Amino acid sequence: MTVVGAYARIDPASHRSVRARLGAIEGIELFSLDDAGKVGLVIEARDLDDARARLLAIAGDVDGVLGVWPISVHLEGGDQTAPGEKNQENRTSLEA
Amino acid sequence: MDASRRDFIKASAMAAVSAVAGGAIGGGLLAAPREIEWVKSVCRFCGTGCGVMLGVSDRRLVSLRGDPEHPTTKGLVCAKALFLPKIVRSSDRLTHPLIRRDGELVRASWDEAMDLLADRFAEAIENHGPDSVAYYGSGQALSEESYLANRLFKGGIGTNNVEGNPRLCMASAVGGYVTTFGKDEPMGCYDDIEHARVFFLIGSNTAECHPVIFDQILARKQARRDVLVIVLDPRKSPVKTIADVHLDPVPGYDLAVMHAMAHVIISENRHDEEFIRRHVRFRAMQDGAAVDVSFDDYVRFLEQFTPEKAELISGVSADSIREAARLFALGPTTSFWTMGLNQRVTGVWANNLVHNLHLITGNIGKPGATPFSLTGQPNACGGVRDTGSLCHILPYGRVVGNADHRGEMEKLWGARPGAIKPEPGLDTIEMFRALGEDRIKAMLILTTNPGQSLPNLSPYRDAMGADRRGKPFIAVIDSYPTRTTELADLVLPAAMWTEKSGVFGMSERRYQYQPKISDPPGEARPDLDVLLDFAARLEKRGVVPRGYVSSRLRTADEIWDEMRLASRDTAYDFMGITRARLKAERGIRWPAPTEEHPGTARRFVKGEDPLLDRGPYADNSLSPGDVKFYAAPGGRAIVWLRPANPPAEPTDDEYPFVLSTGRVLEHWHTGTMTMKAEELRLAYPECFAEINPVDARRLGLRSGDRVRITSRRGEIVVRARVVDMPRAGMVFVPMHFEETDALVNRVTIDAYDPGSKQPEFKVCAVKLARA
Repeated sequence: MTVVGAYARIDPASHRSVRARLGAIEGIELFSLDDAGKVGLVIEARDLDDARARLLAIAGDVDGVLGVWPISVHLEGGDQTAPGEKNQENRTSLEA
Repeated sequence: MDASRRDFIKASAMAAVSAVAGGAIGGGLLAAPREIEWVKSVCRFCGTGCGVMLGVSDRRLVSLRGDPEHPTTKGLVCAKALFLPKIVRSSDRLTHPLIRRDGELVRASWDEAMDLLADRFAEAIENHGPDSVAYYGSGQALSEESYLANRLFKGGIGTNNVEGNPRLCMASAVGGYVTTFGKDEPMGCYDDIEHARVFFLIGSNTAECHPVIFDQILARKQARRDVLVIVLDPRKSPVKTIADVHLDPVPGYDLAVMHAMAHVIISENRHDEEFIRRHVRFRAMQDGAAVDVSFDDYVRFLEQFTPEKAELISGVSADSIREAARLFALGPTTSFWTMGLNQRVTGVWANNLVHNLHLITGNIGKPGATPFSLTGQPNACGGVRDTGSLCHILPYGRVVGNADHRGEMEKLWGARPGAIKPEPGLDTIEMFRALGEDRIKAMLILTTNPGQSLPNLSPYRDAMGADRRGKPFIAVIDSYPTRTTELADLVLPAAMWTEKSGVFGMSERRYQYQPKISDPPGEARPDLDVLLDFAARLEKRGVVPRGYVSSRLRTADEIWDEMRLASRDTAYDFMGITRARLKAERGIRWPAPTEEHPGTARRFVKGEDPLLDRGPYADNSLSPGDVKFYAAPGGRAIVWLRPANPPAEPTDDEYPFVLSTGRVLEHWHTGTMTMKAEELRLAYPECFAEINPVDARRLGLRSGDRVRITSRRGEIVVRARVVDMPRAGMVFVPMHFEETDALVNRVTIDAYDPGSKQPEFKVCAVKLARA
């Protein structure tokens, strides 16, 4: 599992509607920040790939979001597996 | 993971964001799970130098977050940083020395590998002289590593054939600072973002290449409605989204635009006469020599660059130029630029013209007003530029052509008098040309990938790798297999980032310490260990004076102390930046001549720059806030009258498009690190060429089509991406992809700036055809 903390910089004039749109995205928890131009996000994802896809979805698909800046990442267990290792595992199982 | 732990980690993520972005959720780092130890460090990617906190558990890196206590980046990081824990652990890390035998790289012991390295270098030096060997380093090596390699080659072996990849990215910025202000490196700092009213972003995709800087600009613009942004770039990169004025010149023709801005500023009386009178002089080249000219001469020179004339040269409308000039003069103005200016045959001149705009408007030396070159690597500044690890320079502002400078370094290093040659060594392009002509017999390449990154790549790949009688010996130290290690005769596995400790010096003159927190994989060793070992073996073979390195330097700490001594009483003086301070503090900006000095936000400003208070540059006639460009002759910065020369290879009927190379958000340089993260690699699974819709229609190309891009030097075949980003007539291709069909540097040109020797990656003529 991967947990990413981030904030989205948003248009303060449409804070409420942007927040509603963000809140509708699965796997994302919103929290308030002091600045009306920002919304805090916690993304709980299967792995980094999944987390990144959600960040991209926020930055690219949600009207009123000017950008998303990640602040922290925590990797648990299996997500520490490096891609090459995954590939080697795949190759072994295919060969088997 | 159980629910309580999950909640705890999520709460910790919230606290980390709150600490950075402002919020009520506290706890942050203190609330982290007990088994995680948090260690402050520095990001491994670009020159922004973001402070990071690394979560370490069982000597493994399990978490990374921006460091909210970092004084300038304040807890921000970009998406690439999140992947660093994974990149470090990539399974294709090099873990054992490899020696080429019968055409194959095979595993060897360290002793065998180091003996081979020393034997081949000693053999070359004895049979062909010291200039038959060369070192090619990196803006990603630690400062101590670059300093030691420079010391070994210049003072020990006796060759100035010392280069590094900053020649490909930053050399023109160095040339600009040196020719205008007398010494390298920016005088301003990131704090200036919080004071600027106008931002001038030139040839810089700040949003994707320096996202943390971009966020700070965005925050400033959000906070104040009167903050304005001028963008000068032929490509509509994401930066354009915040531009109040966008100037999009034909690539290579922006010098006329900046001269025209100066013309508008002066003709509309928006210049700062008092500042010019006190701090500036004007110079031009006549018959190959620099001569002083007057302000009136400058005004007459600018007559050839009225906005209307500049429009004809550059394609930028005269009205846009006027608007940009008026905004620039409002001030305080901070300019940021990167490779769009530097990677040009007129790179130094283009840098001079940015400085000109700041000098004639007095937009310099006060909060929010500074010309600031951003760097692409974490240690191009501190590691290569400052330590003098290029072929013509010596540490801390010294040059090989100056006998006093050579004498100072020979004395400090314990080298024999006259050991350092007075002539510059071979610059990067000439060094690799010499390799192809077998004039260089042995080369050591450290933490860089010239087998992918050099312009006009094919002949240089042959120079490194083509099997032939008398082929030069190529040794590479790196953490990963690359397009360069595949050409090498010897590959040495290197520790990276969190596996070794040392100093990075980032764009704003801040030196920061990176601690070791984990062990390297297999038998990989820190580069510094390898260099110390190499030096000892060369001493043993008699090609370096016995004890030159081995009796004086054994650890990174000892090397750092010698570096501090080398900086004493120079314009870089960081005698006060001790190892203990670096470990305790979040970096310190030089100059900092004493241990009590907190570091310098703005150079050349009385009351901020300690060198104006004591030492060789002191001037007690100044009042607080006064500016003095003490490193420049007469203490005055120079406004240069530079011709607006065209690029080396203008377009023509046969090659009608301009190719520019650059970066995308997810990747960095030749992709040796970011391509290791599957998530980042899949974001761009293959190379592409951005083509303007107008051109695509004419050529019958659609997004996804394969397009052949051909120059006079080579060709690539990649997917077309039809998008209104590059100017019509321009093609943009990212430089990250290593597949042979996508090696864009097979197409680029190796013409270089005669002053900075930096190649013109940003402009060459190509033709396009459906593949």
